[in-house]
Amino acid sequence: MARVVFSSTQRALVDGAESVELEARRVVDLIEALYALYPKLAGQLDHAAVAIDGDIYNEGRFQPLEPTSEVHFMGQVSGGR
Amino acid sequence: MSERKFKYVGTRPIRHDGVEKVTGRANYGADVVLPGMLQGAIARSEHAHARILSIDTSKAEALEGVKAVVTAADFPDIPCEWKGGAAGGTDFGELSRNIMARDKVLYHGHALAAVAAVSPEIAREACKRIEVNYEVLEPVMSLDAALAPGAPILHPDQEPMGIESEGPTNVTNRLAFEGGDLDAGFADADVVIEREFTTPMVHQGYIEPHACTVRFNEDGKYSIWCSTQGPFSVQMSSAIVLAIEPNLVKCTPTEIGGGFGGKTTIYLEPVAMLLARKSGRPVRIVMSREEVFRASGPTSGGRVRMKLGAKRDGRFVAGDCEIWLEAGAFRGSPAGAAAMTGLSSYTFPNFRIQGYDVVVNKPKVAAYRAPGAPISNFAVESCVDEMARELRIDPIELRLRNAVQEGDRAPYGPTFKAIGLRDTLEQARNHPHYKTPLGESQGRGVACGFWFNAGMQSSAIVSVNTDGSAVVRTGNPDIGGSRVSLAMMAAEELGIPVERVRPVVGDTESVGYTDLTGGSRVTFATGMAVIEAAQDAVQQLRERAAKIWGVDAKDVKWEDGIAHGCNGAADQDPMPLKVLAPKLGATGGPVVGRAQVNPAAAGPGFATHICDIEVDPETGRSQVIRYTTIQDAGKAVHPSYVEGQMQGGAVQGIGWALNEEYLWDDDGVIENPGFLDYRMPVASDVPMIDTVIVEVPNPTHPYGVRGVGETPIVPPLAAVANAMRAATGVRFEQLPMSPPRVLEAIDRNGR
Amino acid sequence: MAKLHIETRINGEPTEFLCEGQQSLLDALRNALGLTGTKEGCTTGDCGACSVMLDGRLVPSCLVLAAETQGRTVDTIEGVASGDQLDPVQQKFLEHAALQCGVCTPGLIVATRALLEKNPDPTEKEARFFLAGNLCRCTGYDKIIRAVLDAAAELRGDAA
Repeated sequence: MARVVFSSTQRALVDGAESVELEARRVVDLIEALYALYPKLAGQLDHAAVAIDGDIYNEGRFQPLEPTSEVHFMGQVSGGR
Repeated sequence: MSERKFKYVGTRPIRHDGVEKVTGRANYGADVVLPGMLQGAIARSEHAHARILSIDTSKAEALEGVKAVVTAADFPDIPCEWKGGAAGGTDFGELSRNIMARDKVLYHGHALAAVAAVSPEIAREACKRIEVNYEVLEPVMSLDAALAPGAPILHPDQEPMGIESEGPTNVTNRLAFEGGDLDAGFADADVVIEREFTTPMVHQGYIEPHACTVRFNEDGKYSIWCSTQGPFSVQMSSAIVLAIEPNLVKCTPTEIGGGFGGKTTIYLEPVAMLLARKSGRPVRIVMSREEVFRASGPTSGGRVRMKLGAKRDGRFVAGDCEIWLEAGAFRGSPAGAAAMTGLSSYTFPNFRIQGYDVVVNKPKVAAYRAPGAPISNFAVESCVDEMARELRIDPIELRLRNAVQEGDRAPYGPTFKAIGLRDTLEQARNHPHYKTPLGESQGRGVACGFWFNAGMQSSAIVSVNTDGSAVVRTGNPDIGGSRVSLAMMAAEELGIPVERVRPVVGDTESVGYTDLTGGSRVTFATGMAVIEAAQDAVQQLRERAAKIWGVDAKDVKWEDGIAHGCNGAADQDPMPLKVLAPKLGATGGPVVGRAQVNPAAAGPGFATHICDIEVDPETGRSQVIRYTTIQDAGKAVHPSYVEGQMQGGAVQGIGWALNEEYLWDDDGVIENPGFLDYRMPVASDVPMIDTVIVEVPNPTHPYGVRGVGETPIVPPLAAVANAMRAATGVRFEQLPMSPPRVLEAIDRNGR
Repeated sequence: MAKLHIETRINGEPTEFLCEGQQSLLDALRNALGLTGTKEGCTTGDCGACSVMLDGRLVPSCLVLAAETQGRTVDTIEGVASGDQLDPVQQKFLEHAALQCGVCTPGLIVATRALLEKNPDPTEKEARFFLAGNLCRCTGYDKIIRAVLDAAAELRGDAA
């Protein structure tokens, strides 16, 4: 079960949950499952960056997940230089 | 990985593009000349906030020598919608409206129309003849004005993100991160420091103004030559703004005269494209310095309220950070990044960070080196310094007691892998600078800083020439020495001298998609692609040698540019690349290695800076007299250019701290759109900038490289302010700490 | 209005060109003569990117009228290297990695040569003050100053 930890901005969209554990093989499957579970979240993670166990992927939709993975969704990280 | 002995990586070869740049031969944005080329100029708004009632271009069109005029009416009306999440994204409708005002002008200098003519003088004269009818609106020139009840609203139809708002607002977005129990944390604290800080809008200050040249072909294809950090993003954004397919746009990046994030977006390209199509001739547009200040990307002015709670022993128990950033005329300040980085250097069991994006009638901000981070960090590190004073703990010691390390969780979520913050602090404590005695009116300040660093997409091609040299082709404009670093990594894999590897920056049709030069990502991510492409080439070279020897490729190893037989082929005479290269044709054709990557972020970058400042109590004038930057760069590929990033970022930050600011009059007109009054550091303003490179290998990169370029601008604002505090006894909560402000503060403080 | 016909000497070569009365030397160099090594950063004389030598004196070419060069000599970055040899100042800028983006570099090299002609043995402080008219946003000046002092030593014949 991958564990998704929500930021406080996201918590407003997930009935206040701090985290949730879901069965998912890949990030995209996890997003689908999250959207199904929390309708208010629908579409919000389509362009998000994803951190899997500390590694941040700007485009990580098809990254595989381990059963122990901890996942955060966040704004894309770019920068100035 | 960290055990690997490098032959070229870590040395300091002369950059391949160096001779062209010291002889003046290198072509930058404004150096492009095409036969029959016209010159473009842009008519800009005289008001900071006004409705456009009508634009009459007939007198401009009638002027002899004018070949084309465009206004927003020539642009497709791209709908405004935020693409991306709350913490980052783009609105191409607003990008289009920033490039050419539609309905409203939102800052002084906002583009209204453009002209192409046979000379720049005629183009500028034509711009003056464009007649605009405005309904002038009250400008919103500060965060206070934007947030005040009854404030004029820039975008009345826009829904804010992340906040419930009763009616229209200038706040477009709120972002928050929380952990633990904030109230309990502060209740548990022995000492609480709470202060509010403001920083002004500042400009990246690249020396080369924006410039682009466009040719339109009758088959519908546009060719763009421009100074940009991202040719593929120019291609993509220009196509979206003009509602055409990106494959109709080819972008060739020229040499780039600085960017610091400011050349990651587009201003001129779609305008020149339309002018070129309308006139049937190539068009070049070059911004003046004044236009650069008025209409190209500054970074946000900001306000940060910071509350820090600690135990007597120095442990931080609570941090509360509230950040408001000016986005300029359209939403999209780096409030998200400011929030995500603000508390990331230390562990806070209880914390809350909130970031607000606020629109004002100023130029739309663009990325600027670690966007947002210096602003929140200034507040946090100033409070940490106050806390050290309050607790009577050495400021480095206090930071060490709280500094994040591997396994700690960042406030924005993920857990850090190997990072070097503590190493930089230890090095700072032991550095001779930290022990140097200070004189009269001198003070010393310390500050840390953090930037994520980006990964993103890169592709690379490594081809072997018949003489045994190689070409490395990537898609990243070389903004500060990346060509040589990339060539060094290819040289390392191929085992040939760096001088025999020629690094080439491709255009959008000669290399695979590559994200922009930004986010401190090139040496990390594009470097990774180059290493893999070179390894691909080496694998092919082993196969070719095997073919010549009639053995299996697994019986050929590649060392120092030489094929050696091994196992059953050990009796073969070693074959250097120079001997093998001419035989490639006979063994299957050219050898071309390729690779493409989209790696996870480049490994967080942490730094500690030490600043000594001397203040003249009579005039308020200050002089940085000693400055040391210590940064975890991961493996430093070319140490000179790593140091250069550290030194340049430090001095940019010193400018932000001491002198730089936009000045506005009551009507929202910028009063200092030039280098005389917008005072960037000059050579006599600063001392030598000492550097210490800490190399904590980044576990996600084959050589351990991590991003370097942005972190250096994060600590200086606070490092300078903390030094100023030590020298004057005054805690400066407002930047810049310019002489009049310092003098006033000293007087007020009774010294 | 008829253009002005100017006869001057640029990088040692007798040169003729046409210009408008109001045209700057910078504009004439870059657009009439194709000498784009001299860079435009501000056109107000504040950045030094367009530094050239006029009759042996360092000037920002954006503040000189092209017509003023009549009968005088102009030396630009294009004339600094001789044949296939870089000038020691250019060489030291390369060795010390004293450039990042490189757009301020031509002006800085021209200005450095002007400094070293006047003062072959400048202190760090003298070098910093002389070059205070040349903005560099990338390097923080550290490596530039080191390159300048090393070039001075080399030109004096001191072992660096």
